[in-house]
Amino acid sequence: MPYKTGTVTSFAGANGLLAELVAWVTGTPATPGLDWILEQDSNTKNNTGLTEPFGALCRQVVLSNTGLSGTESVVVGIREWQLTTSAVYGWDLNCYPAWVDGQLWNGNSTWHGQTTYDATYNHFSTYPNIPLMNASMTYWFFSNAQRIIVVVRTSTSYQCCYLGYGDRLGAPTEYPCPVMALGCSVGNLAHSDQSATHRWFLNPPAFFFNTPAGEARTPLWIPGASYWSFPVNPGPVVGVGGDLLNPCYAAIATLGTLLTFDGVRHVVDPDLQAEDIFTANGKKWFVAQNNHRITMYDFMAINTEVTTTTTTAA
Amino acid sequence: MEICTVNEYNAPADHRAIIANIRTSALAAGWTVEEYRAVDKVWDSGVGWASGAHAQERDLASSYTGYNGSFLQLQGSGFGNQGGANRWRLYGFKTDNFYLLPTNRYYNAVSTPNCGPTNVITYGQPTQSGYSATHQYNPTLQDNLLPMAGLTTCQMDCLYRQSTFPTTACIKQWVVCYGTKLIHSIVNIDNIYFEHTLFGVLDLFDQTYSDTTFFQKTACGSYGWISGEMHYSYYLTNGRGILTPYIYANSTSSIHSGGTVGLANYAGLNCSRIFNFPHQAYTNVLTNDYYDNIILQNTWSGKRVIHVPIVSTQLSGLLCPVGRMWYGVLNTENLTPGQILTYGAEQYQVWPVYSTTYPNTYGVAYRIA
Repeated sequence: MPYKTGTVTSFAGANGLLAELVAWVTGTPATPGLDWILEQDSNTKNNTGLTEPFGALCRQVVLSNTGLSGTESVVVGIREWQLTTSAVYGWDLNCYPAWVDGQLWNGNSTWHGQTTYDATYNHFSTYPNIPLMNASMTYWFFSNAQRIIVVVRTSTSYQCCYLGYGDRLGAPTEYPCPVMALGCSVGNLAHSDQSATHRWFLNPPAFFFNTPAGEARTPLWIPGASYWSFPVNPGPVVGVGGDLLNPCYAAIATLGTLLTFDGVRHVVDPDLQAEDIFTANGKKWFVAQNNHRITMYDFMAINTEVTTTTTTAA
Repeated sequence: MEICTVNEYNAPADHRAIIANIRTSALAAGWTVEEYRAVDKVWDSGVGWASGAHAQERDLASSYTGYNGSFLQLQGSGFGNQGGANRWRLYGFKTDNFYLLPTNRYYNAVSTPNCGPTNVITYGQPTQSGYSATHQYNPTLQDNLLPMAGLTTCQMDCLYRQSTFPTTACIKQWVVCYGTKLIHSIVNIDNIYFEHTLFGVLDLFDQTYSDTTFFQKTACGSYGWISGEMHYSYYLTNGRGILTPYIYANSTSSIHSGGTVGLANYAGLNCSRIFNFPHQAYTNVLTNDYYDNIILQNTWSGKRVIHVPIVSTQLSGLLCPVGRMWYGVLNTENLTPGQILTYGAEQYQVWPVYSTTYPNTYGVAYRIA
């Protein structure tokens, strides 16, 4: 069951969110999604790979898996950073179309082009990231052999990230590595920030995205941020109930549609609330919201892959 | 998408041949032919069925004289008890000025000819006053004259383009059937223009309804499919007929009507509408937004996303999905009409909705395997 929810009590360290995630996704090698491999696991280092600006307080990892086919190379990275005097905490996110053993965590900047390093916050401020807090946080992890999704409740807001492959609209030979690292923030934003650049990964403010040609490009995120305008509120499917689960795409005008998000759908329903669980196609879906936003357009559903069991009333 | 059957007919000579081909495919799919007049029969209300030139009520203008008439009335099954309502008439005739081709009339604006007591089209359509006011239940029989107030264009006239309809044969015709639920005739007029005639019931999300509570018909007025005219959806509930908005309503490229006929104008009614994309909402258009990019052919894999339009209806102030079209929409650039696309074990046959060149070659796809 590649789905887990729980609570951690601190940002980093043994009781931190990253430790919880890594322990879970690597902890059951016989189960797809829980069989990720640690390619790199160290104290967080700076952009030169030499200094450990936080000492043992922060950790950086690179995780790999073999994809749904079992023959691919899905490689993603997470890097803890913090500035306690500003009460700002977060993860830098990365992904690697071509991982080389022993390379720096940020050693793929030639591919994605981002090199800015903020020496005050000690993090890569133009990388996709996910703001967190150094306090109790409730999390929801979703993992399979090609991607990891994290949703975290930080006080009253929700943070999220997507790391790994999407479902490519073509053959693996045509699109060898549909990898992406999608955050919900960029820069040095706190988890409580409510600015426009703090939003969910369906329309990420920062990302790394690999094309079929192996280039880091900027896709169109569909649905994007503002392609909604129902004349009246949407209602449930007539006679069936529930909501339409709308696929989410990444496309590039010159290339066409590239991929859909794996296990993530957009839903529009004024009755939804974050953390709702509903059933569709025999599976339970978890509802997450767009950071602090709660309009009916700001909800997505993530497939828990938990099979619904039917009970018969007495 | 459900697997449909497709029959292909080469070089239909005229409107009569096209109607005959629809009849052939309909029979093969299990439809009942309730009335068929194959050659040179037009309905003159003062005479009845008549050969030669007669005053023809089905014309664009009643003063025209019609001849070379052809008439077909079909009954499908629909879901549950929809069968009695899934009845369609196709009128074809020629005037001195132009050809007309199948005219589906599923409300009783003028519903002659009388095909006998067992073949009466009774959809429970509202009267004019009922429609504009309380849309009361008022089952009507054919021969009643019930013009829709202010909606005289909502007559499901599938007019074949007068200016482009050839004096010789068309290129090809395909008739798509999903059993006795759907018929879609696609005619390649001249390798540039395509004409679509689509009727039946919708693919309901919940097909267990058997009391005619939910009943949908759709039809398309051909050459403006995406960019323009006449694509209607009807939603009937408990026998109360509700005329619903144009779906492709104006001539500028908006899928949804924002004008005089549209959801907003019928907010108090149980109207339905089609979303060509799941996300699509009232102000979205197929062109000029990112959804264009979804249906483009991928340059890296050659694949195209096929989107199934969602049909929603307004219930209790909410816009609720009720079903979907039997076809998907896609961009048919670089495809030939009738080409088959393979997606793994599935196959889809595709046609442009308007022409092979305009605009941006939007098309429809039916699953055939």
